[in-house]
Amino acid sequence: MKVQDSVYNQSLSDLVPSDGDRKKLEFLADKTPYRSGIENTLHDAIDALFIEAALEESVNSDEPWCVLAILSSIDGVMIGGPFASDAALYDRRASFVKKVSRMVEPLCEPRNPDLLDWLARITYLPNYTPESIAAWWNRISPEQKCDLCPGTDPALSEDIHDLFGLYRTEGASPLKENISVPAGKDLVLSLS
Amino acid sequence: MLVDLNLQNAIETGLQDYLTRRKLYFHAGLTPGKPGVGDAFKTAVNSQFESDILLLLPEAQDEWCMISQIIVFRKHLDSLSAAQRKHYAFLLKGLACLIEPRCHRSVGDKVNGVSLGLLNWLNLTSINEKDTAEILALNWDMEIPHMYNQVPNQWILHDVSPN
Repeated sequence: MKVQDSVYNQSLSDLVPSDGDRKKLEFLADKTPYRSGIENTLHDAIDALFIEAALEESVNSDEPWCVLAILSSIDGVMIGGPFASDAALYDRRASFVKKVSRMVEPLCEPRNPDLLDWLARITYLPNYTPESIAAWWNRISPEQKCDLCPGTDPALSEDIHDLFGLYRTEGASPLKENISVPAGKDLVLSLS
Repeated sequence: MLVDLNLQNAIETGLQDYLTRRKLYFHAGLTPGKPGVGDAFKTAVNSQFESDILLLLPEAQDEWCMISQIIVFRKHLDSLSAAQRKHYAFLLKGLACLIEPRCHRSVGDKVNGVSLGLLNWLNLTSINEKDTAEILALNWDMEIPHMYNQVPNQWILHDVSPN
């Protein structure tokens, strides 16, 4: 367990008051091979709920953190996953990219008609903010602004490894299809 | 959304990542009927448990864990893969072995140490999270004896192996 003091244990009891649910949480933290403690398990569980809500279109918000979290959730499942060719998800992504554009554009110097196209091509990570995206745009060259696959912001894609525990620092995505499956076990995709 | 101060402190101690906390509050606010943060945590833990159980098929020794896993598998019984079916049968067999010593009524013929009647009953009877091997043994004792003295589903029987 990453944090094992009494305050944390008391917090855990407050957060997850049901004995059965706490047992499940501890089981996931201890017995599943890619998790690194209760805190990371809780993070993963909440992230998974959020991703599920984002994919089910039950999340719609204009708050910057939420718009960017939805985009990172969508990108997480679209890249190399079973949703890669999901047209509805592309449309949904495009609508959220427009929201990002409205947040980022006032922060960009100089303003540029290529911004929206570039915002549509970048890959969103959970730690992006409108300010960090604008800073990325402002520091790249005009040629880079036309890059067909800009990928992720190199300045922030390393930082993200500091945000999470072992599971994510090893490069694994929260998506189940990227988790290595023990020998002899079948792989089943389930986001719920 | 109002969150009690103790719970808020607990969330900040237990969930140190700011973005994850925002997602939690957001999800709690979205949940129909506004059940709040506590239910959002419960949903998150249970969803993660279900997802991991189906994906990783972890071994379970404790009865609570066998029972919780069996409940998860039953929700997806029509779409289980061969490996998942095998794991489900393994869980039923393990649970039957825990129940059997607590039973007072005969458990019938055995194959590889597992009673087929008890196994079949366990496969068909309803099980909930609060059940224990003790409670299930009491339920077995109260069943009409001939009701479950039949051969279990072939795929469950197939997986009743010595190991």
